[in-house]
Amino acid sequence: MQGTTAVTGIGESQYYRAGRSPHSAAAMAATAVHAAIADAGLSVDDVDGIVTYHPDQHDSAQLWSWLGLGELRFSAKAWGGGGNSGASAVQIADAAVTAGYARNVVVFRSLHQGAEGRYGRYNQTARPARGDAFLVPFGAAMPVVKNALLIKKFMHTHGISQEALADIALADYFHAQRNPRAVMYGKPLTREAYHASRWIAEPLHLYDCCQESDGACAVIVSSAAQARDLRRPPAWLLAGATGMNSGGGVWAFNDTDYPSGRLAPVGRQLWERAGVRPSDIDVAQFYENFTGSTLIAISDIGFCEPGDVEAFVSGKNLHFDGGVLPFNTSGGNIAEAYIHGLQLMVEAVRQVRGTSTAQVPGARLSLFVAGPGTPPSSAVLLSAEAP
Amino acid sequence: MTERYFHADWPLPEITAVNRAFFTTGVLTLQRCRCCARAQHPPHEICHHCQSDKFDYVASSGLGTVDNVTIVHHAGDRRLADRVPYNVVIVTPDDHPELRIVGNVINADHNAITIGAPVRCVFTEVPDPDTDETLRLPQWELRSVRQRSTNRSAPATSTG
Repeated sequence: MQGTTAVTGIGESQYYRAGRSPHSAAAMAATAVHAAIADAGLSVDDVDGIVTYHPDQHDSAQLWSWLGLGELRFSAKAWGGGGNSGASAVQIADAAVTAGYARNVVVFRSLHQGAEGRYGRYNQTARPARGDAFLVPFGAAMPVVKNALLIKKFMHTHGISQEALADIALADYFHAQRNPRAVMYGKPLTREAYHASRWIAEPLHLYDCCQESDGACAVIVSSAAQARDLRRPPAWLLAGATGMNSGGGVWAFNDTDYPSGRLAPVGRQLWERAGVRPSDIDVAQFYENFTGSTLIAISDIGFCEPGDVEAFVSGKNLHFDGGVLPFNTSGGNIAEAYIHGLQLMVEAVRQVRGTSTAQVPGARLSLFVAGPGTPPSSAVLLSAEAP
Repeated sequence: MTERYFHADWPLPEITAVNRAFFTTGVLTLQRCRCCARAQHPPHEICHHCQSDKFDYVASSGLGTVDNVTIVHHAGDRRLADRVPYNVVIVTPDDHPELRIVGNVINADHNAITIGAPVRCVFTEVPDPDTDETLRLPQWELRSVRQRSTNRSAPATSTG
């Protein structure tokens, strides 16, 4: 909430292609969480709360003890699937600290897709139940198939071409070339190579899909008083928002927001709470599980009308050096790594600290948007200046 | 009845009280609330409009329109390895255009499966491997314009 909390610490493990990490998810979580505590200048006894999201290998309470943290005073998990609740988790930490339930709350994700199984594959044998009973038997099993349908309908409805998808992937790869931590560092992408890449599920090419990665990252949310005393410049939490429209949770493409509109309620909350407009934002990190999802998110949350999103993302509009909306400045899910999008939150913090490898000069307002995949969606807005 | 679009080892739905009619009757069957008369899909334990849990299961004409289509080229599962490329469509039933049903168009060139194409429901019969039930999975076939205009079962229409 405005003036009550800030992100005071960030931490990451090394990021790897799926299955390539020599470290377990627990070991990588330990690396990321302890790095975030050290970055903030806190001790393990100062951290007293934990929040995560997505069905996970690890029970947070068990992980807490494995990591040697102090007395636990707050724990929660955000609803939603995939990376949609990445910003919700930060918002929950913010709420807990604001309410006084905890002093320093760590938000983390740790993925080992070698051990867990790759997220892009189905490979389940149980008979699909509930909503999946109406998807999986017809081949709509993998995330890419469901997202391809959503994106296809959005493009068809609003007259969006394949070039807009390419622009998202190219911006990700452009920024990853400046980031030595990015898995795709040193592997630039051209528009020709994008178009020449194989179809995964039309309209999505290989380069429209996020990576499958191993790695962990963490952020620490602290009270305002604590944040002012710590070693790093605070990334003030100006506003957080989680939401969806009334019928947004219905299964199998029968939600009322199909194919777009899922992030509109998040935008309405965010701009009102923060007292700023989309045009005030200096830099944004969007959860691009697939390129086209970001086109939906950009328009849903209020940067432009859906029909104008192709022009909005074209040319160098998403570049850190002079773009209209510098976007995914560490390379994003597509070219840095896919840690359920929480690595985008880490980059949003770096931008207000002034330490990104694709630093937007003078960035004050830094946005992280998670959605529109599995509702509810979420967003967090950070500020370099105390509200 | 038509052959199954995917291989025999591809997952079949778990059959429940509310989805049995959709997956077993061999007629495109939708769930309608007995209290507020709204149809909903997928069928669920409660009506999302009035929260009643009393339903009727009513036959649709089985005629529909392709609302959305993707051609899947990458097999994200070993059981799909020699099945790609395959199509996945979303169909809106003509008598309930507010509902969306996920399925596959069979016996069609992928280029012919376009948004707005008229389709009709057909069924794939599969014995349930875990019970003695027979499943009848709704699938779709393209309707040609000529077929539509010469539908012999339709009553004669007046142009007056």
